[in-house]
Amino acid sequence: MSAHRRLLGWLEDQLLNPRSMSSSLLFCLGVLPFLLIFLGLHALALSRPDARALYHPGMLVALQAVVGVLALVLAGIASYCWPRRRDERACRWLPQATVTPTVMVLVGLGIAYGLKDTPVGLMVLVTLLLARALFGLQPLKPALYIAAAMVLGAEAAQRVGLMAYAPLILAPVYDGTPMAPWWALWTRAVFDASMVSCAAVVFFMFGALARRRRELEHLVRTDMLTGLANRRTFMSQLEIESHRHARTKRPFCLVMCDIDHFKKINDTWGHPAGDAVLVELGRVLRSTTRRQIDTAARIGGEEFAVLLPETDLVQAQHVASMMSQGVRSQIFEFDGQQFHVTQSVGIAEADGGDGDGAFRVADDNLYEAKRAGRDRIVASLARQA
Amino acid sequence: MHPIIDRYIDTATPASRCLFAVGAATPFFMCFWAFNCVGLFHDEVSQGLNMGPLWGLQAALTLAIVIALAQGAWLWPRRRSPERMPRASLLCTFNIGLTYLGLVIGPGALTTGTNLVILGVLVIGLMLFSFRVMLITFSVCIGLYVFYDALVIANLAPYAPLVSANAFEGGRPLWWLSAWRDVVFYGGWAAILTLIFLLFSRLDALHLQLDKLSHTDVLTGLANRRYFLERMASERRRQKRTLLPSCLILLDVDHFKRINDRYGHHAGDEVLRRLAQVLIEGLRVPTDQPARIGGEEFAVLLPDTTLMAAETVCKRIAEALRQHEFNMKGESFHLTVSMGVVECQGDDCQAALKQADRNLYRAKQQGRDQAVYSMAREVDA
Repeated sequence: MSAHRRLLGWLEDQLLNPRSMSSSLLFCLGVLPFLLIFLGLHALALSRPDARALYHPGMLVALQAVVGVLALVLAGIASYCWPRRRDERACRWLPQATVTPTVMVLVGLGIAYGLKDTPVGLMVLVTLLLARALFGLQPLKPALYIAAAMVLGAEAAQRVGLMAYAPLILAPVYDGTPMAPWWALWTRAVFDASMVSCAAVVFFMFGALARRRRELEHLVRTDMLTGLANRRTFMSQLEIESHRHARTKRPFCLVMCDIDHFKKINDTWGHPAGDAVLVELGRVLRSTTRRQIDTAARIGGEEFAVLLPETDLVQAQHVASMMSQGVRSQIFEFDGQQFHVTQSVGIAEADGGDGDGAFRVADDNLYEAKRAGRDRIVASLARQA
Repeated sequence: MHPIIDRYIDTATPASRCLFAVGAATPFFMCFWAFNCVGLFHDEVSQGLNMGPLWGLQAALTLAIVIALAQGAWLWPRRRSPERMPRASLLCTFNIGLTYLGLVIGPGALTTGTNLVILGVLVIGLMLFSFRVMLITFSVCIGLYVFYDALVIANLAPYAPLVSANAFEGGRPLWWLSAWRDVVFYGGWAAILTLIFLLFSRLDALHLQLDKLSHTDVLTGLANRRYFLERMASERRRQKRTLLPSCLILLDVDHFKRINDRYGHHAGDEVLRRLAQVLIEGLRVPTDQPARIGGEEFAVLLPDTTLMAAETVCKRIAEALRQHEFNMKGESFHLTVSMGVVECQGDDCQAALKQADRNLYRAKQQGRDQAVYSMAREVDA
């Protein structure tokens, strides 16, 4: 289980942080099965008279040689990349050298079998998808232009009669009557292999990206130290709540807390002690607020703010006194010495949908609490000017 | 075109995502509906098609279009509602998925370009809907396909039920079938390639943006603590190879508390923001890496720099700060900073940080507005 987790984790990392060497390695390993399928099918066709009769004589052998050479080249690139797979340096020629011949051979195979009535096109698409996911657009461009030129060139040649449609085979794969047993086998092998790998690539990619997105969003929204919301989240929440307040006239309160003499704690016991105090305050705030309803945030160094929707001034004062009680009752121990901390709190009830105004008033009240001797709560309505 | 789509997908509500899917799929359904009408009523074409299955497919397609339009009408007034709509999403994806399944199986899944369309539908679906919804829909559709294909293999159902042998002459498709194939093939490829590349560029952009957000400090726009520590660690690794020295400056605003107390927190924030600007001006952009690593604490990483050169940088910063006048609430004042500077050795970031912190503390003790320099790992009395 852990090996399989590790492999998936590695693949995910690969997809999100592409590196030339390991991406080329993955691309080779991803495409080689396709080539092996064709090599196997063609070998089978050569050995079965009924299948052999469906192909242009000679061309099948030539195609087998081309696909075989490409498979050897890709295997060579894979074995070149394997010992260098942890190399982070960018290598320009390698992705191009890997992708371009692969796409050319697969498109060539598609033209030989007929792109419009066989599933080879699907295989080309999977290859392009894989290449785009691993390398980005830039190294893919030559392959895309060459592929487009090949397809359109073949189309033109067929229109003017220079070339037959599906020159590799003598009769079309499907002509309205039940398919020959060989074609029934061949189309299913190609179609199913492409479909399975395509679905796997697409779903894996989206799963990885969604996970990464959630992680990053979490990082962007929360404060690293305390795990509370950060300033940005708090401010946007405040704006949302202000709009709601303007609409519904339901009360909401802002509580701002600041640890008293925080600087002194840092200077006396060092930064780890200061961090421990902050983490503890974060824990207290989380445990005294309602999950999913209130927003508790660390908005600055030792400054915390709580947004209490549907709460009036009396209730907010009650919540704040619980917070102060929680902070006061916690005993910290550093260097064998014990200490405890207090906090000052400023509260404001919003008025007229003015969240910023409430923020200012709560801040003024906090300042008032500090000036009046700390370890206390000052609360007031935020009257609109 | 494509930034608009980006913004739409990033900010869209679940209802408007469903609407987008309905709006994107319905025109294609209508195209196929029109193709089928040609098949049903054009004598030459209808001779090459099996009428029973064609009428069946047309009925299913009509039903799908009606469902899509009805759902569109239901969704339209709700398009701004942020509510999650798992059932509406599933109805939407199943309506589209099953219809496409019919369109793929009808003319023969293995031998037409319509099989490319499945992928396109899957990719758009994953852009718009949640992973789970798409996994459910896709599994059901693929399951049905596999079931039908098993019937075909067992000779219980016809392959390509729509098409009859009369659509071919001498093994070649008649003009109308080959025209249909061309449209599906070129249209399918163009649509899918565009979609896939659009999708990828959107994902890349999103990635970049989130990456940037997750390593910047919101207030000042400088790097944040986490990113700074990462940068420092990678710089140490590089230093091991190049053997060039690098320096670390820790910088703390003197008497910042007074500003907060006197002018309020908003003013304090503003001062920090401007200070960050001044700091950037004193640095060699983009090699030097400044960051805000705490309340009023900043740090700068100076790669490939000796302690001597770092001293120049520190003097430049202090000088720039002395020149800068801060204005708050009609009063103007100057700020000073204390700095602790170390030249880093070895790959121990923590030791370097600790030493810089000690130097900063000494600078504060010696009366602020100065820098204290030392090598890292030097035993400090």
